[in-house]
Amino acid sequence: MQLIDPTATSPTQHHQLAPRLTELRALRIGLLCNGKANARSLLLKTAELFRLHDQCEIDPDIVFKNNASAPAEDGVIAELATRSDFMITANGD
Amino acid sequence: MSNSSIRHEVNNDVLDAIDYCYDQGWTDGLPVVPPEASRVEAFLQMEGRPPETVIAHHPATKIDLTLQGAAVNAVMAGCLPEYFPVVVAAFEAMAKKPFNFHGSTASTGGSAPLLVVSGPIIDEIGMNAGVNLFGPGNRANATIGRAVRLIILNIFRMTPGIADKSTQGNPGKYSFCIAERADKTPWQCLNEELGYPTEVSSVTVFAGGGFVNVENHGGRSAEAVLETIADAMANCGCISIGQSAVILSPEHAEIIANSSFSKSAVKEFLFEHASRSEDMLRRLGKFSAREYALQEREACHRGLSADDILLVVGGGDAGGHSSFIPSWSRTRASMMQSEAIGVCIDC
Repeated sequence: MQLIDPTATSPTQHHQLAPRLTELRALRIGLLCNGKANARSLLLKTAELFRLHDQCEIDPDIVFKNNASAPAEDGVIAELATRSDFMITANGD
Repeated sequence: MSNSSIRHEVNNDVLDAIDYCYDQGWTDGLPVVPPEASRVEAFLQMEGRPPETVIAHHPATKIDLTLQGAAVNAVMAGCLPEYFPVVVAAFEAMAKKPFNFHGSTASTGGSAPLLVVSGPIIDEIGMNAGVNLFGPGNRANATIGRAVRLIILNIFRMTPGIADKSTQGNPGKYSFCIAERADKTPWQCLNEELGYPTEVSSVTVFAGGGFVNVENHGGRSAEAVLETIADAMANCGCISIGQSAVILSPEHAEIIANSSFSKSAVKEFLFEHASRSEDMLRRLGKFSAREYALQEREACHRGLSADDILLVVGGGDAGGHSSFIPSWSRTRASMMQSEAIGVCIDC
């Protein structure tokens, strides 16, 4: 008996990390929140650590995704990049 | 990429072939029909389009579902070839972006795609719209729903504990497929409500949470029955701005229709009454100002409007048992989608 394989293989995806920052001191942080109830707290507490240790500035305008389980809407990341030096994102269920 | 070009030689003993499928990790825990080549071919002939036709795409794994891959898994689920167009249409519906195929298959929420079939195909392929609607006993209902799960497992690799992170899962993740009971529906059937001609069948997919039985044997008015259902819809464990599926039992549908409620009036009544106070939700830690602001209402209602309620009739003649199925999504992260079965409306 010959059986047909019922599975599939995920295609190779070529993801690249953003260039690493060599220095964090006094940089501006953008915050991208997935929108879940606890994500904002987690983001702010994490950002506060960077503020204390590296004198980073926190962009007060947190971006909230409309859909926690989907990628950020078109243009959101690019817009955030224009007003920050690096970005933190958080999931908080 | 589908691996359907790979063939596995096994000896001609069917029990050995079933064990082989277990050994390969191809099952949902129950035995499967070995996907023998000639059976798969019969399914593809029923569809008509080329086997490599892509019918759905998983945005996270980047895997495409082809007709061939769907057919192999439908065979394993125990489907007959004539059921296959329903499976195909269900995935074409789930592939639409607002359904949020990735989130609904991966989330801790334990979602299962509920399939609601409407139209003449129900009788043509022998689906059950009556007694024990959500239960066992009908091959079409059971195996169409099971095919959906096997495709999610085998093609899209949403393996429990790895990519599927459901906290408790959901019995519907084995199979969750029902048919609308047209002969007991006092209003327009779902396929027509969706804008399809009467002769065109449809499947609606809804990323659902768990099944909630709504019992009321004493209520003799539409208001009594509907208030009971609305109370279930607003239970604090699942109230959110997400959508709802309500399956009215024939008994309840008759009581409601005798009170001259139209279908839209039923939905309006349910939406208006399925609510909890802001104070209560705040006390329980379930209030989200950002979400409930979208309603622009004093109380917190389930969904954003009456249009968020999928309403169909189904089940046996006897019994004051309707059901409510909440959305998996607590927000607007997944919206139910529909597709015509076996025909291309836009072509």
